[in-house]
Amino acid sequence: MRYVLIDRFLELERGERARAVKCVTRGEPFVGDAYPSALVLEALLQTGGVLARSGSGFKSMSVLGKVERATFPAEAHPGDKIELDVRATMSRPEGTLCEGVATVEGKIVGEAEFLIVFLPAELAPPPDPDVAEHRRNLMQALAIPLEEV
Amino acid sequence: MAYVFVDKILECEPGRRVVAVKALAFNEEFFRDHFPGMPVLPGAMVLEGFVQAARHCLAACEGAHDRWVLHAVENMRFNRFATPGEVVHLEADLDGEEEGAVWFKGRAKVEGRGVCRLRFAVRKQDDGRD
Amino acid sequence: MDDQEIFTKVQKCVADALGRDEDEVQMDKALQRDLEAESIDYLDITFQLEKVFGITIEKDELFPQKIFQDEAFVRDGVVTEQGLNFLKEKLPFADLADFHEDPKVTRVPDLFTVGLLCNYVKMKLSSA
Repeated sequence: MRYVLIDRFLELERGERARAVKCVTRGEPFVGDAYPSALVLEALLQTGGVLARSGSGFKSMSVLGKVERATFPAEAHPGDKIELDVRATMSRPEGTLCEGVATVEGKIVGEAEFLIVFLPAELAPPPDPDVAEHRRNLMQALAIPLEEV
Repeated sequence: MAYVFVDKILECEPGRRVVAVKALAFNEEFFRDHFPGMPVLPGAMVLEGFVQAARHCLAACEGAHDRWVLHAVENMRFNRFATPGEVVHLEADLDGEEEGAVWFKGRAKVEGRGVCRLRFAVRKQDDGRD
Repeated sequence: MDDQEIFTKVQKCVADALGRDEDEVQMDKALQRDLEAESIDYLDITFQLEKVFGITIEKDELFPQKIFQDEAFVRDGVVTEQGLNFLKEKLPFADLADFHEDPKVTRVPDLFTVGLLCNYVKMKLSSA
């Protein structure tokens, strides 16, 4: 399986709030009738990662620092469109604290509070123009508004 | 079969403890995206590995008919990245039950060194849809 | 805000960030040595303190990373005179007397106790 768990961004208020969608389909290789909730969490984390990086012009790489808490009161199923809504509650140069909720037609399938941290330059991989281009193409495909990347 | 995050069960005390293993291969597709040029095991996949291990632990004592799903996570923290070429051990120990949710304390390690720690809960999901 | 109130609030911040019981978080406990804090926790604690006390903590103001990164501050595992001055300047709210006795760089994290956090908060609130 690939690992881009967002399909499109609907709204990006830099460093403040991001809304995106993720469709659940049999076309993805999960077993059973329900989408694994751990991947609903990942969709929220990825949305939060873009939100956190948007606050500083997408200059740093971000990784997950910590999940403070998360709950999954219901499941998503094939054919559902998950709406992801993530807000940055606190931001610092080192990282961003986010709160997000995932819903299907208004029903909550996941909620999480998590910390996204920016990878210090010495831990990030060396800059690679192919990777940078891939990233730009991906962000354009997801309708993430780019100023410069 | 795709989307299985547990390769082998090393230890299982039904309803109490389970130790599972997931080996990491560069060839796995998700590494291409996470991240390009720096393949590391995503935290959410560690979590799913724990859920699958917990299912195994509970199915061993409850009988085969309950479907357990992820209910909640608390304080999931990461010490270091796990990377292709490593074998991740997922250890989960029962840590209480409340209102139908069964809690575990989980520790993911590579060669004894901590990768991730968390508390997580699973609940029985009846399939009359939510 | 009096010292007891500061301590109670700091205690809750640290307990929440580290996922521990509040009674484990006492004044003399060092975050790393006694409470098993890791690098991500320093960021989390910083966020909690900012939120609870309404203060702004500048980068490296509370947990200065430079002590471990600057070659002039550490030689053969021991903090140099320059390093000691740096610590004194950056952590005016810390009690460095004990550290001076045996200034190994591995002992620097032991300075970061719950008590130090309380002193820091008190200093920030009184200068606000």
